[in-house]
Amino acid sequence: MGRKLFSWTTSGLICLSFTTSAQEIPTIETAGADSFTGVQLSQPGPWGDLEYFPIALEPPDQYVTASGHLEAKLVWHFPNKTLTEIIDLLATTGLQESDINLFTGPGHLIRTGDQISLQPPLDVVEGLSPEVRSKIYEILRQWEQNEFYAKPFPVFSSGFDLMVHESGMSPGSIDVFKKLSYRWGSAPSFSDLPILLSHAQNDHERWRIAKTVMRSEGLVVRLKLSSQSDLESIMTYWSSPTRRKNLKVFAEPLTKMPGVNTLDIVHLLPPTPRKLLYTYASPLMGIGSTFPDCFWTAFNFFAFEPSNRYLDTTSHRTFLTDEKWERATLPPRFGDVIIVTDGETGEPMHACNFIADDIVFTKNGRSLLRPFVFMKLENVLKNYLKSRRSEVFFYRLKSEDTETVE
Amino acid sequence: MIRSAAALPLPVLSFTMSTASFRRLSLLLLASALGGSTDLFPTMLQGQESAVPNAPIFKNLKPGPWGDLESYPVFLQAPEAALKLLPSPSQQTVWRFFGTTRDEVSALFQKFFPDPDLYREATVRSVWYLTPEEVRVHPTDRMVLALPPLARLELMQTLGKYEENPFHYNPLVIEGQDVRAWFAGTGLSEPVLAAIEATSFPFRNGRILTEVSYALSKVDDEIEEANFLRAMTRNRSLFLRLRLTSHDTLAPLLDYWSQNIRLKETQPIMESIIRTPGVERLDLTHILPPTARKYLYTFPTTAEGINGIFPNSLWTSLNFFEFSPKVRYNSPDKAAEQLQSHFERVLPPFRYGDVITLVEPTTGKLLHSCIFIADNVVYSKNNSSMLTPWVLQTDADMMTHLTRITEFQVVGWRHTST
Repeated sequence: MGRKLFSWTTSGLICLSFTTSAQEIPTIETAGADSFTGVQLSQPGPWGDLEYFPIALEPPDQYVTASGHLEAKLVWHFPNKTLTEIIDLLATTGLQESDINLFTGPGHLIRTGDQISLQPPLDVVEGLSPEVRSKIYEILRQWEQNEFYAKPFPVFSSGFDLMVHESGMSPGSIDVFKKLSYRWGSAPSFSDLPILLSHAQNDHERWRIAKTVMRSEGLVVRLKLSSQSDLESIMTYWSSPTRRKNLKVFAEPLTKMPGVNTLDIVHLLPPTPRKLLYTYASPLMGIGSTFPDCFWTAFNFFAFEPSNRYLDTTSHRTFLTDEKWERATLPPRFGDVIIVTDGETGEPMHACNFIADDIVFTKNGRSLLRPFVFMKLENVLKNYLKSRRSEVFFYRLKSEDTETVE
Repeated sequence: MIRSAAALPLPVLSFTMSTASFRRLSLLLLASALGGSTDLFPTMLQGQESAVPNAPIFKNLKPGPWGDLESYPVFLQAPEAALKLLPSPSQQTVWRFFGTTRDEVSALFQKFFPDPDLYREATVRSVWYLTPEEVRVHPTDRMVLALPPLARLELMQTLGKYEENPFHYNPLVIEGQDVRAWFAGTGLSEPVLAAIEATSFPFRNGRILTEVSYALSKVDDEIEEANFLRAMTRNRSLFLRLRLTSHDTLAPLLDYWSQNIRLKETQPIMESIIRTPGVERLDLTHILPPTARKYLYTFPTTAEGINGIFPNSLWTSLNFFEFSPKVRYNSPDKAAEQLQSHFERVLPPFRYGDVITLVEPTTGKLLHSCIFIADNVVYSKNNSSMLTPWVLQTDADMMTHLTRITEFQVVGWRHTST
């Protein structure tokens, strides 16, 4: 999928369509020790020569505590379903009749008013085949009450080993984590935190398991510089309407300095993404219980002070047709907003900013547990191309806005 | 208000800077008065750094709890949009003396120009305007050129008390002694460079140019004038990179760099660096808190002054760990209140995130503040000008910019939440 996205050679407005199969491999492939691939190079382009490598990010302690996930129990909610309907649903997954009877029997079936939920035994769920678990989770995720299934924890696309590296988890827990990970669409995912926590040998490991499962992957991206670099044109690419420093003067000494041949591109970002990169949103950034999401992040890329107008979830379509943004023409430029829409409904599902080559700046979800990061667009899209058809559009800040240089 | 020095319960570090070089005085003060017992500004005792645009120097900071830090200079220049707001200074040199008399100014000139011809030129052939408020002198080129360095310093300290003398109040700072190296690549012609060389004088860790009008009078055309204005905004800052090579050494580093409120965990990032083949350095920018990272290496814009006040050093220091900056910290009174209520006084050795304040010795008035990063490097904005960026720099470079601060005491503060 990745290379198909980046064939920028044709002209015209950018709109890319994707069709995905309903379900792919139910378990993730084992990532070996060689998943630490080190520094990789981007395709050269007007952005210059970039190198990048993955990093792991962990939410701050207070966020992990506040999430309540440490005390999470394995509960399957079936809103507005009768017991008969639930049994029928479970039967379609290949779950054995004895297990269905166990899950819906005394001690595991909970009635709250006229609502039914199940608390299946952890060890039995852990022992289910990946195929059966995958089908059960497909059912559960249609209700947002099943938080871990509707919005599973993403497993690193860049390698499972990277995700658990120096995590403080025991080898046994790591094995369970890997075994219970699965693919939702093409996105490596994990939903069984309560099961994994039950394997903790002590409170410390329990804490480390929670923090590890909540890890996010990001990229550190560096611009390679040498005395041969065409600094003028490279810095023109990285220019932005809220630029507050002379990039050429800033970068030029680095081209002359032995031993210093890279510039972290955090220094080339506009102020707001530079401030936010690799951080988790502060609760102070929200209004009520609404916190910055991908749209807020993408549309505030060039704003010196972010506008909370973009917290308004009902206005995503409006943002695309308002006075600031227009459909982009090829090739994409630094900061262009990439919109992923549901091909059936046209509803925007995700937004991020084009940085260079196949690297984007993104916040994947509204959760305070999801940081602002650089990622490969291909890996971002894995989390969003789950409907039958999806489309990707590019939008650009209108030129009259780019002239309002501060 | 911070209490006066006499009433301070903890020892403070005093500095006096008059006509001799700051570095030499610091050495004497540290060696005698303090007995070399402090780690404050330790590299003031080391040799002159000569990092300049065409001869960058890569160096290691002194080892310490901050780990293995490498620094190299970068140069900042205001963006064109800011330069458009900068009016071209007059090419006519004017010295405006307030609250003084013609006789007092004549006496000053007698000291500056012991040569009788020059003194006569200063008092008879140059143009003077006298009003009850001021004595305004338009010196001749010969006078401007003939001033010895000590006289230039005294003139700066005399005229620099008044904003009406803009380049004595906020002189052009050349960070280093080599004028031509500092202005390399700026497009300035030989006569202009020669004029700057002739009229600038050594000051602390660099050189100072107050006679900007004289240098401007040597430009050929508007293009060179624009180049001159652009070059005036040049600043030297530092890039810092933390070397990370082993998990075994990570714990003390995390202890040092994990200060106060952060919205990310430093440990996984550092471990990612250690783990990745071919990568062993982390740009320190990633460790700085969000607001500090947002402003580092940038110049303010008109948007920052929308409340009528542009960020100054106090704003910069007290907002270092704030996710959303608070305008009120621009006020020395409000800043002092915040320090008294949320910080505690600390002595060297300072650690990452400590607020270092320079206070007026007798009144305790806050003169300047910065954030201690590591070794001799601070995070600072040296005044509220739109042409002054937020930088990482050595304490010595910072002091070169603080031309109006001559006597001060250093008081360190640490947030009580740490």
